[in-house]
Amino acid sequence: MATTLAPGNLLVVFLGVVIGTVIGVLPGLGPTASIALLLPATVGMDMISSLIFLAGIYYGAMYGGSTTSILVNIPGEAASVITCIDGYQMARQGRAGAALGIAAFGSFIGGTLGVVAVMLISPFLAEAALKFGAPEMFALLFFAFTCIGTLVGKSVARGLLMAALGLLLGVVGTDDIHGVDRFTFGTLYLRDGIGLVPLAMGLFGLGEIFYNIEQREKTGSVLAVPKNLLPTRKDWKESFGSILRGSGLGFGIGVLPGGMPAVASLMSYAVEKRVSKRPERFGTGAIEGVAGPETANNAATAGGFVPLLTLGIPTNSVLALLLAALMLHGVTPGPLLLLKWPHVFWGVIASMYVGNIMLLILNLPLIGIFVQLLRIPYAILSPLIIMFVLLGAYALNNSIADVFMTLFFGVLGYLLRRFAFEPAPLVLAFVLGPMMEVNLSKALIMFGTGNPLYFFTRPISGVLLTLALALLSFPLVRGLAKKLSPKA
Amino acid sequence: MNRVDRGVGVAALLGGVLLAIAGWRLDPGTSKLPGPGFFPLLIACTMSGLGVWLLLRPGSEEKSVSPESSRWSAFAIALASILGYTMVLNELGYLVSTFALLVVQLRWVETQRWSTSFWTAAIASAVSLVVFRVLLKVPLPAGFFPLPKGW
Repeated sequence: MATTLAPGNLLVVFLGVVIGTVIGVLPGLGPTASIALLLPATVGMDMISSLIFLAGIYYGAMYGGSTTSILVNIPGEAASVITCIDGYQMARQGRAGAALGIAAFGSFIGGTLGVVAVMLISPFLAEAALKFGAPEMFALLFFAFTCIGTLVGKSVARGLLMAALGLLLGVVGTDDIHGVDRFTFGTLYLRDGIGLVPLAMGLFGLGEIFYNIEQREKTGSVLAVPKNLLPTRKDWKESFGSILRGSGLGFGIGVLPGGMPAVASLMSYAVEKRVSKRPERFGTGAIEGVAGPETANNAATAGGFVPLLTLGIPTNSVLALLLAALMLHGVTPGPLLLLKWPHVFWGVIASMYVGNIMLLILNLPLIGIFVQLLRIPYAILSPLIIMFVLLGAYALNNSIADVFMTLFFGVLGYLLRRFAFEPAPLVLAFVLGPMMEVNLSKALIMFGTGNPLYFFTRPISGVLLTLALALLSFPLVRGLAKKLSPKA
Repeated sequence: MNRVDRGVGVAALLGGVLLAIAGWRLDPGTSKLPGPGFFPLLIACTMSGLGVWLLLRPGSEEKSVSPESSRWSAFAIALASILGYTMVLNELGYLVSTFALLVVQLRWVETQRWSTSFWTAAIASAVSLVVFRVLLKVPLPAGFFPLPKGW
């Protein structure tokens, strides 16, 4: 806590959450692209400062995203898409204050409860993970891979294909085990492999901008920010259960690989509608439709730190970049993090508490100022974002090749968006792929028999692989059952 | 069947086959002692399998994009200008090439007025040069434009 409360780090948390809120408010630049953009700038910072700065951007963006959903009916980032439904309706009915207020308090409660859970669960999980050998690690990564492929996006086949593409991109470069160049096409640049930052900036930054240029949508008018943002006693009564459910559900989803905050908010909305005594109110301005999802996406944000910090497994693309940030500073996240670098672990946890408090204190009085940002025309903002993305790509290694790579992935990101393919599994598999390969090779050499069924002779790897196979076969079984069932 | 799924399915299947050939050439080793081509070969099998899955599964309704909402020419200009930017950045320098990129983006992609485009581009490129090159010490290419001493 003392590390986080040092004046320098408090300033870093403050900057992180403010930048995050601005990113969340502005449509067109999500947290992934922004963190990728700012990652090179954190190289000069010390390890803890850079991590709490980037983490601050992440949860700040989750807070900020709701503002535009409620006041303009445009989600600032993916996790706030669902908030548009009831949040905007509430604003149109003159209840914008209650919607914004409950979104902020829900986010605070969800975020804080999530951090408490991270603090309580992580040490136990890290201790258990210390017993993991190569077969268990491979099984865990394979399970993560299938979760990412099957849970993210609308179609399992498309999700898995994106994940496979991510694995392929991850093998480009000199093979760590055998020292052989793979898919480098004889270029020196590709020997080091494809960089995560150009890939993320291209897919999420340029790709999004290209899509917006081609498919320009008319933006709605910004509704006025009310003076009173405090929810009434009735609002609290209606939202209390939603906030508690959203916290639990969001955290649980956040811990799962592929459990992005956007998935958490979507599922929370579905749960709230199902448990409501008057589900017909949903879509017409039900406060539970704002409270639940907004709480859930912040709880999921916190939940994602459990597998990242204890197992070294990022569950979404933002956390993949945080993993890269840790590795830039020579820290390998995983079970040993708590033993070798306890100050990093607890520093991040403490910064999340402080960041959540800062966001609540800052966001409610400053919503009016943040909303003014929406008055900057997107036509001006878009070229400036392009400039920063290209600048960020160049600044990474002072190399034009990185800019070309960013552009390449920008076009790919645009095509994926255009044809409804989700890029997140690609990024996650790209990060997990090399770890998967190393652990698979080690495990097979360790077994010495060449029989992959040996994975099932070890309890942990057996259970994880069985779960993964069940997850993979679920869509096939469902499709078969549909075919066999008599038509109604 | 969804046309996109069909196209992507064919691409995944072909890509998988090509990748399998490449993986084989890299030496897959054995399952007792995997070689550098082992993992690429596994990815190739996964990709081909998924390609077949996409080709065989019943397609869902394809979401059509109305031609009125599409701004293909703006997208093409944006893409071409960024490609041009990456090619001339080292020769022309950061200031001139960024200014030119922003003018093109603002004037022809975003259809802003000439004066808005010019001034926004000039201010943004100059401010970003000062912030990144002078304050953050990022060695942005200077090009032929004379910069003050110490920059």
